[in-house]
Amino acid sequence: MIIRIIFFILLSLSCCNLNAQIQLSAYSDVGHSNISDGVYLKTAADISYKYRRFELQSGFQNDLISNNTTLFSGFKLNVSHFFRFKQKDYNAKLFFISTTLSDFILETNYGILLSTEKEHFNFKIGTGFKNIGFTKNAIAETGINTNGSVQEIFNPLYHFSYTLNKPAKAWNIGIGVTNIDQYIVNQATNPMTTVFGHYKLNESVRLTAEVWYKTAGAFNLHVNYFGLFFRPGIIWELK
Amino acid sequence: MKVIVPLLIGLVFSACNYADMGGMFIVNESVNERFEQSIAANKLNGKTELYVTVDDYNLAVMADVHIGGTENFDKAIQLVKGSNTTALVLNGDICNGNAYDYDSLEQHMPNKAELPYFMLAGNHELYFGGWNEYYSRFGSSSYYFTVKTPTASDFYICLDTGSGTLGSKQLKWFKELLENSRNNYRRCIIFTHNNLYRNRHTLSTNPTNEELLVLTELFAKHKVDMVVTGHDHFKNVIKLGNTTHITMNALHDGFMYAGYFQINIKEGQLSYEFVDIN
Repeated sequence: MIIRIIFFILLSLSCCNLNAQIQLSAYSDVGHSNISDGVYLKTAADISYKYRRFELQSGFQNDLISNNTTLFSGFKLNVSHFFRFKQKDYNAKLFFISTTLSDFILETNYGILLSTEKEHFNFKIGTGFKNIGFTKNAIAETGINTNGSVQEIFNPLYHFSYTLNKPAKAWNIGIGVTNIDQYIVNQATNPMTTVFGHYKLNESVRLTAEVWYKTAGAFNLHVNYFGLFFRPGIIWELK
Repeated sequence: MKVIVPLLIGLVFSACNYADMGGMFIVNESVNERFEQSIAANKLNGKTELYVTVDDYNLAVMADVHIGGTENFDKAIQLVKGSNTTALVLNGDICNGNAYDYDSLEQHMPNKAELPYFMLAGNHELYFGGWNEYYSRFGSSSYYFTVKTPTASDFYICLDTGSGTLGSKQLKWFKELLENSRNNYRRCIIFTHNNLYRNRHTLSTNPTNEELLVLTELFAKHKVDMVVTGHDHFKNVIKLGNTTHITMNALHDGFMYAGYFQINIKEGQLSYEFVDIN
């Protein structure tokens, strides 16, 4: 199903206006967490299509080394609108993320994020809706017959980051704190810290690197390590 | 302003005897270290089996007493003692972590011969270096006990989520425990302090989303009947698949909904009630 959707998106994009901008990105997550049972390796690829003030982005993630038993562990679809308000640029993004831990558990997140930049700072705030449920396989295996899911609504979402250079520079490094990542939407009380950077190889290609540190129990006032991972990546803009 | 803000922060960090603000950044021991100590204590003490001579029995569960104050705790203990309860589970945040809070708690605990009790650590037990106090007085925070009736045995597992995560070692132990032992018992009930799902917006922390999914899967796969938690202070019931997730009302003094929770096993069927003490 996921492959069909991505194929459909790619096909649609290939038929579109040649003045539009297409961006491909690929990255890997290599890390460890309290639930990973050793080192894990995930890979992901995104494609985005920007036309005038709108951007459509889709991507998928798969687990190469992990205790996740499914090949495709994540799928996302984002629609963004860029606009100006009181002399400032904003981006409103609707997102949909579907992840599977195994052939047993299915999680979906959807919501809206509003972001803006001010020189060295990037701010995103929003709200999200989470649904955790069982797959058909789980229902068949365990005999679950009622209440197959739980919802958490209007979860606050945030991302604050600071970069050393202004966005126009060829390279940059920064630090951020957030509760939303590519395929993870945490509760507001479980922030993740990231140090990130990029280097522009040429007009089309950027190399990226991120280190993420995840904690548990921060707002319990008894914080504990939860996970750490490294994310090298590449972004290619087709002009 | 430049002076007032650091002064205020310093005041908050140093003067509060309810919440250990420094624990947001640095803690004395990790959940893995606490788990290793808990396992060492389990090896010394052996496993606990309770025997009841009839098929029907009940357990009482209390959480978020936050001693300091003991008025509601004393009242609830008296109610439990008068209700033919098989055992009491103290499900975290029973005291606020200071040594004098633990002293007060010990003075008000029931006699174990009269009312067997089981205890586990919540986040407040760990404040102000409180784990050492907990461990020296009560021992393990990750263990299991069983209740054996004339016709069946039920499985009760206590988990330490005082740091908002089971940690890698406790999670591995928990998985193996379910895989190896769950099927030997009729009912399986988990006690842990942190509530897992968020039914309202608060500053209290739950396990991270990734860990939440792993636990949800384990509960479903191993047919866990009930997960009893506290932490959020307001009662809530979520039925997810075959598992009933309970969040209990707090029992601390001055709380208008103060109460405890009761698990009833009657003719093999599991039921529950929230007992209001006001």
